[in-house]
Amino acid sequence: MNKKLFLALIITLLPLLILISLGVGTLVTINISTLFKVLLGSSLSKPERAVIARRLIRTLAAMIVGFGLSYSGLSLQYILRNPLAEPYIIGLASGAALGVLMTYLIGLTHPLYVFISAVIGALATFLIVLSLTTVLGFNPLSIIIAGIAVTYSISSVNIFLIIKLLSKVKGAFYWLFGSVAYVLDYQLIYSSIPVIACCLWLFLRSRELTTLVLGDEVARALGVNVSRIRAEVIVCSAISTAAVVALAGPVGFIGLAAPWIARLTVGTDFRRLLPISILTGSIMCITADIIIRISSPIMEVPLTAITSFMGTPILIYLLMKRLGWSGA
Amino acid sequence: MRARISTLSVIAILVSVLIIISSFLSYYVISLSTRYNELRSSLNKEVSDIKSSISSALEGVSSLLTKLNTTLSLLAKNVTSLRAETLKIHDIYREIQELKVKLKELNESLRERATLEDLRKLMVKVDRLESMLSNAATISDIDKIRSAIDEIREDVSKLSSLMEFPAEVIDASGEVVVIPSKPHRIVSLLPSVTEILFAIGADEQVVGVDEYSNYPPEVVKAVEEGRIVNIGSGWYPNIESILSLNPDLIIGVDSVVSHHTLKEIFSREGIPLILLPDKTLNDVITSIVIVGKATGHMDEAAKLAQELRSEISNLRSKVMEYLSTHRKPKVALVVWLNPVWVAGNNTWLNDLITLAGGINAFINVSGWVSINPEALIEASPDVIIVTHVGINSSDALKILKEFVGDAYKYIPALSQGEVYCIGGHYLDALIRPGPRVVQALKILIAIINPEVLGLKPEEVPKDINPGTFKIPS
Repeated sequence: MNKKLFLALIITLLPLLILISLGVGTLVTINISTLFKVLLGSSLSKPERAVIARRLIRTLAAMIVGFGLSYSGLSLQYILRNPLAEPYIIGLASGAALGVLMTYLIGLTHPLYVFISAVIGALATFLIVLSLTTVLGFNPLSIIIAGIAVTYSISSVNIFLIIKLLSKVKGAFYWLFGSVAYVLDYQLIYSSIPVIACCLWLFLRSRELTTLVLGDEVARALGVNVSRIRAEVIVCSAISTAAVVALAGPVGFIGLAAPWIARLTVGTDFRRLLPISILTGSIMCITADIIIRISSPIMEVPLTAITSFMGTPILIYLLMKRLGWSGA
Repeated sequence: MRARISTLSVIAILVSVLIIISSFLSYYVISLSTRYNELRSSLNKEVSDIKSSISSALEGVSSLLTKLNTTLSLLAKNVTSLRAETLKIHDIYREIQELKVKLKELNESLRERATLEDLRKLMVKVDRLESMLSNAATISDIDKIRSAIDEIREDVSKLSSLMEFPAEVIDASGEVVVIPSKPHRIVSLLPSVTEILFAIGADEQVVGVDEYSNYPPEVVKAVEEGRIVNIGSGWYPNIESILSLNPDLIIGVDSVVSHHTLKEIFSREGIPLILLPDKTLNDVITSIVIVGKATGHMDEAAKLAQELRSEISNLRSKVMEYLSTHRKPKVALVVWLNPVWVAGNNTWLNDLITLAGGINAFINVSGWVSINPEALIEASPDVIIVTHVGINSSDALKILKEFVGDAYKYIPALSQGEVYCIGGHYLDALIRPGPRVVQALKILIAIINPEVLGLKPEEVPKDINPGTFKIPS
């Protein structure tokens, strides 16, 4: 696809989708024309205001989810030299799920505790992966192996806990499958701060990251501290993914698909890739949420159900194009 | 001669004329006198008549006078009693004044939250006044007093509703939930909650229920007619449709995790959400009382809770008595057949089995568990109760026999065909921790220990549903 056309498309698509997202939902009486009327100064009733506020929180949450997952996925693909790397490859999703299940096991069901324990679970898992990696010797392969190993072992604990807790965790699957339907305002704020901060940090490092494409030796020769930048990226991705997982649960496929779409269109320059993949990720998430709300107006459906469905054709397209990894 | 004759004739004529005249005259006089006599006698008669009438009139007057006398004396008596009545009324007036003062005080102390007990006392007093008045005399002032009392009663009821609200309830999350005024737009998130709301007479206040709320039948009707809105699945309710109902109270349960999140979300909008406890049998009764307080149906709720409590304890003692001479059967409660899931310890159904005088065959596992054939052989239940939706007992028996293979001979329930299926709205009664707990308990007793309810074992069908089995009262 034409680079400039794509750029123009996604830049105009995002605000448009946000607007649609605010105008779509169970209540068909509150639609896009209502929004325009509000902009023109007509007032809303209390429930109408509340509904729009909920849609706004939901939309922003979907945006933050797409935002955080896409750049974490992108930077991990960069430094791990693995085209299939995604944010959950370092065990964050299963760790967060474990944290959440633990709170249910103890009986702390207040959403704030659930949120905090998801963050703690994700980061603790990440620390285990990191220490395993240092034992194995710090390189891209060891990170992936440690990540996969830890993910599987924690997932088995999770399955055990889910079976055990089945009668206790009624109504918890919206979290375990990822959904932005029940996001709280403070969760949104707590999550977006680390996500945006880590993104800024990575953006500042984008020049060094881009040199990694040329190979470790070249990067070193250009004066880049390769292992340090790698550690920084992993920590940043871990923090932002933990924040996203705590916010909406493990939403799948965005972290893999969004960077790939970006790479297909703008090449390998990290400085350009970062904003494009962020936009793509946000758009994918918001679109998925809109599709959920249109296709299932009363029943809440987990977000992963749609994102994976949307992501699969993209992956197949990639395979058909047989695009080799030209990154690192 | 001629002259003489003529004179003589003249004389004769004259005499005859005279005679004629005199005879006429005499006749006239005679007739006159008889007329006079007639008149006289009639006059006399008239006079005597008048005389008699006057005397009779005089008699009447005298009797009237005596009558008047007696009435006057009666009146005098009445006046003294009247004075007493007036004094009474005066007392009532004073009491009303006192009441008014009290009401005023109450109104002022409302901010300091005077107790409901005070109000109840006040109401009793007003009732007493009312009965006093109805016994009292019939004076137009009483109407005024009555209207005054009505006013007071209205004030009191208004005050008491004000006193009941803001209601504070402590829900299962341990938080104090404040309901500022009597809720009129309630959303129920689960069928069991809906059942409680309808059982305590809060049905008019319900505007939204989850899509599985189907009991009592009025709920289904109200949803079809659009008076009550379906807000989606109870575990994953649709926030927008709840918000659009502009509810003033939402009721969920503690065991559903998403309801905790909803509580936070709706607290942002200033809508109270109560999480009812729903783990044990006692929790059901607690829930009823909590809902009663929160919806302004305290009396009905207390009555229902009391009824349930006494019926349960009644059944419990009956079962205990029966078990003193009989063996406790081992009961497996299969909630799902494919794969086989059973209710273990720490479940609502486990409590019911125990109460019904059975031993849960899977008491050593906790929660709802999927089991393998060996576990069923090991547990070897005497009775198996299946709550799988839409299956009959012969099919269930067949599936369970296939599940364990030839080893079914070692399981009494399978070898003797003691497999029961519960269906229809009995199934809901059994699995929902709601006000139909007594019915659920009776169904289980009918299966496990039918003699307790005075039933013969053969009177209990293998497929228990509203069409085949009537729950004994």
